[in-house]
Amino acid sequence: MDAFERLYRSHVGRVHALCARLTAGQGTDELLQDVFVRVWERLPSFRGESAFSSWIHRVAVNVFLVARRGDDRRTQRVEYADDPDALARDQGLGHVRDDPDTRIDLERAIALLPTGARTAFVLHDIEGYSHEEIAALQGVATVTVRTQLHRARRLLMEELDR
Amino acid sequence: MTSHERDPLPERLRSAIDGLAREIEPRRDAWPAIRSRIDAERVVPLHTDGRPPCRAARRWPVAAAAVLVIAASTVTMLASNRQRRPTADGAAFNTAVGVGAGAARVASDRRQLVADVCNSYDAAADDLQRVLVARRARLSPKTVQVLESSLRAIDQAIREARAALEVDPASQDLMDLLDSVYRQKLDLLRRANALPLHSS
Repeated sequence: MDAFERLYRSHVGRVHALCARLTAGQGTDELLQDVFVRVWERLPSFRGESAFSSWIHRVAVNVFLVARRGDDRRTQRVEYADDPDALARDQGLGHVRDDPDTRIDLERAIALLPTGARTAFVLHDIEGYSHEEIAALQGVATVTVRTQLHRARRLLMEELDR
Repeated sequence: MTSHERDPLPERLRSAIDGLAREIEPRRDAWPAIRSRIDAERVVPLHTDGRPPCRAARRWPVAAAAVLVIAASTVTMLASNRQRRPTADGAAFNTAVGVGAGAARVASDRRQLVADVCNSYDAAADDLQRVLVARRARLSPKTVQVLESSLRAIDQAIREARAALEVDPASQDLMDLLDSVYRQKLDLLRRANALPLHSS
């Protein structure tokens, strides 16, 4: 367990950044815990074919998407985050207050995106997944991912231009 | 052609993304909670979805029906609004992708995109429906009744969304709605196919 704690300490910053952006700061802590519990369960299946950081990232994205599908089933949610400042608070942006305003503006703007558009933007434009990979992960058509990404970029530009 | 060539990332957005923090430490150390969950789950393994299957089987038709009522009425409302006036979204989309191409070309591309989406989903739904047909005789009559009613409502919502997209093909809201309704259909079929069968 000590070795796993060391793994957790090495990767928690990146995984938490991903979780916070995907969830818009709502339920980030829960997702972070779920991810590391799942990583623990699936450690025996890690074969070293990719970097551990890439593998753990994949696990995080999968856990998020499964949880999101559950949320979609349970309720028709209002798409926009109720509290766009939640992300800034949850991410502890006190750590980055000395950075340009644009960074915080973009974080807040990402949190305002509808869920599908936010997922496409975070995975494609920030994390570097291809349209096809995102489509496969979500079980949707590639064109759907393209349209969500297009929408995300348009909404972000509008928000940044305000 | 790569996706970036088709829909390039605006420079301002690119530089804002480059400025994002790669790592953000959580405010509270999550390790103690993770450790206790791992310890707990070693002793008491949880069911996959956290509840017994029979309970899930009793609940799903009610939830599915409620979701569908909302989806179908939203489609109807949006469809009637869109037929009266083109959306601001549509105008923005045309501006964004229509550089160097006529409006008719953009509309045609969007209609093709809608057709592609529908074809993909229809193919997946057909596969699931074939499985359902094979299992149907061993589902309870009440379940079959709710299922058929839900599928009719979904198919109606899909038809209405497609008709609205014919009128306003650039509407991203309608596209999202169509995608969402199709996903509900697939989800409903998958869940129906996972229901326990009555012994014959």
